[in-house]
Amino acid sequence: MRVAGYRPANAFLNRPLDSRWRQWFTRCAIGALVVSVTLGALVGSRQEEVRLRYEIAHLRQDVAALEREARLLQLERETLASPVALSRQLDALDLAEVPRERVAYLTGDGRLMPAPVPTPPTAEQRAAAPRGAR
Amino acid sequence: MFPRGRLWLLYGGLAVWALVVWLRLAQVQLIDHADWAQLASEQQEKTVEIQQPRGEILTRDGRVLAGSLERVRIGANPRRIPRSAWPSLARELAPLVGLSETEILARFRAASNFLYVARDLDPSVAAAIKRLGHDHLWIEPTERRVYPHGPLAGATIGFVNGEGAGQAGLEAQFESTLRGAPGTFRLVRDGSRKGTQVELRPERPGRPGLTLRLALDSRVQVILEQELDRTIGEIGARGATAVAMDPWTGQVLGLASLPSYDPGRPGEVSGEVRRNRAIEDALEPGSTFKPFIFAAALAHGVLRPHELVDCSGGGVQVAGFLIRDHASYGLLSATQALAVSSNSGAIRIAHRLSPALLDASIRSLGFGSATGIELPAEARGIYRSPERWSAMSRAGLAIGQEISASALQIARGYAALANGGVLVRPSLVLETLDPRDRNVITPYRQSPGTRALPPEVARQVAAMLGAVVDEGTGKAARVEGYRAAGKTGTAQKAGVGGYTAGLHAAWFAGFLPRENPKLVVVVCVDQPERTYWAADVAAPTFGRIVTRLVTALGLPPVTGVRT
Repeated sequence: MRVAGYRPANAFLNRPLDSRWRQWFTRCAIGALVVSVTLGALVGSRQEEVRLRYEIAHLRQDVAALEREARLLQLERETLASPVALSRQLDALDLAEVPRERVAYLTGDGRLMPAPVPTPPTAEQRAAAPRGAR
Repeated sequence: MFPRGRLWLLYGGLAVWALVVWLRLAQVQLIDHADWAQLASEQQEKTVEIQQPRGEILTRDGRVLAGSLERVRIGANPRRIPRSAWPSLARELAPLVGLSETEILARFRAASNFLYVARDLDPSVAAAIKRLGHDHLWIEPTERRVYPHGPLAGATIGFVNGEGAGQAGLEAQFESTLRGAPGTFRLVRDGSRKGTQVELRPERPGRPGLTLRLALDSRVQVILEQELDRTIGEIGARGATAVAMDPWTGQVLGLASLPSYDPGRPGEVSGEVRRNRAIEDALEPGSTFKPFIFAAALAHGVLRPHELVDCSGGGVQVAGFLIRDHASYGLLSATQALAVSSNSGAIRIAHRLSPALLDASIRSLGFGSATGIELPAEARGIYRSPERWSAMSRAGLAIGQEISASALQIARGYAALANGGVLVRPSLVLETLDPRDRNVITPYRQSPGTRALPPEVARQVAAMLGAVVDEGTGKAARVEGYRAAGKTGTAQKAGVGGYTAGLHAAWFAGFLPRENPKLVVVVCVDQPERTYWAADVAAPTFGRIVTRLVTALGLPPVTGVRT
């Protein structure tokens, strides 16, 4: 397209106006699209990786915290269920020692045998018994 | 039209610019790559060392005797913080670290430079402190060692110092195993050079401390300590020890040393209390040593089990000194002589052996050398070689004098009598486990024993020890339904320049069941007060201990055995 009646003397300006702007626009648009897709493909995947790393890091922190808590609970359970601690709190916990007569052994042939009892000698026996040497 | 010359000029300019860019790229990417990569790494990454958690100590039945909790401590350098900022910092920190503002400010004022504002904090506090965004506060990961069972087996477990390093007991002996190795990681930093948690790239993998699984059984340990505690409460004593051991493998099922202490608070007791008496205290064994003299005589053919031994006279003259007996027994069989614990009989039997033979027998039973148990500071005991013996020495040894031994050494000797004559090595640690899945890393390997006595001799002495419990000085150790064997020993304690009047050690060493022993138990009460005779102090304690042990361990009684 030419502008009617306009004839500039300067050859540099004597330039036909670009009538193919649509073509230029299309090329630019395609170029921008290619650049966007390329960048999207490169940066997007990298961003996804970074996001996943963040997620993994957070999950690791959560796992570490849970493991810490599990260890704490396990040690607390040990403390609470310690025979030493339990034996001191029999009354408070409403527990009672099992009487010796309620403990028995089941033999292979199905008989119940009573639990052992210490049989220290009587005072008389003790008085008569020889003592260990020095 | 665009003039062609100018167009080429433009093209040429662009080409030169592109070339310069490409050359610079080539220089940066290819030639100076390493330098730039290093620079980037220094700017974006940081190497951090992460201490791995200390290993646990478990009993054979899976109870946790020692474990660790992750904690943090908060450090600061108040001199680098403007004084005007102290109050606001203290105000922000106070609720997080559980201290008052006044306390924090007092610590800031007292510190010349660096100080720990608070220690032993939950790691969740660290995140909250990071969120405060104070650059002059730093957070150090640390650990708190926890002993859930308090004083149970305290002297055996030992304790760690403020830096988490083992100082006594198993904690010290297995320091490298329990501590593990720290790992180094590359930490990605953000634009302000602060670490982010985006990526912790392992540079050198660390190794968490391994878990120790002990041969100790928590039930056995509890029983030993409770019964010793009862004895000390009833009779009064300076201390007491007890050892329970499998005579066939040498596995130590219980090792009690009273008074005990909580390894979590070792500073509250003296070194005297922290001592593991069962392995560190060597005392004269008294008459518990007589069976070894009888065994030596039987092994060298100078004594037969039913041979009559002269136990008359109420004592025996040795090198001009009269060593008294408890009574004049007359002629007794060797079994009876041991049952009544005759000093005269034992001394006359010892004199049938040459010093060299007696020495060889005593040494073959492990006396005078450490047992090799996996604990520090084990006593070897005092035992002199025959060159340094006096004319009294054989007589002294016959009644358990001129020699000292730990309760563990006595237990090892009795294990040899119980298992047919093999001297086993006592072991406290069964295996090491992976802390994550508890898979076995170092499996249990039983140390090979050495033959100390012929099997027949061990059997004969075991039978004699049975008679001690059935009809001799050890009647108080009897347990209905079980056939126990053992020996009492009442030893005077040696002090400077001789024996100290009124100070004794009461021993009982024995095993059961007599026919196929499953347990060796040694009890030693140090300086009993109300009465000191082993038959009244140590033997009843042994009886109570094994009564509970056979129930706990499920050892079936023998039908028809009544005492």
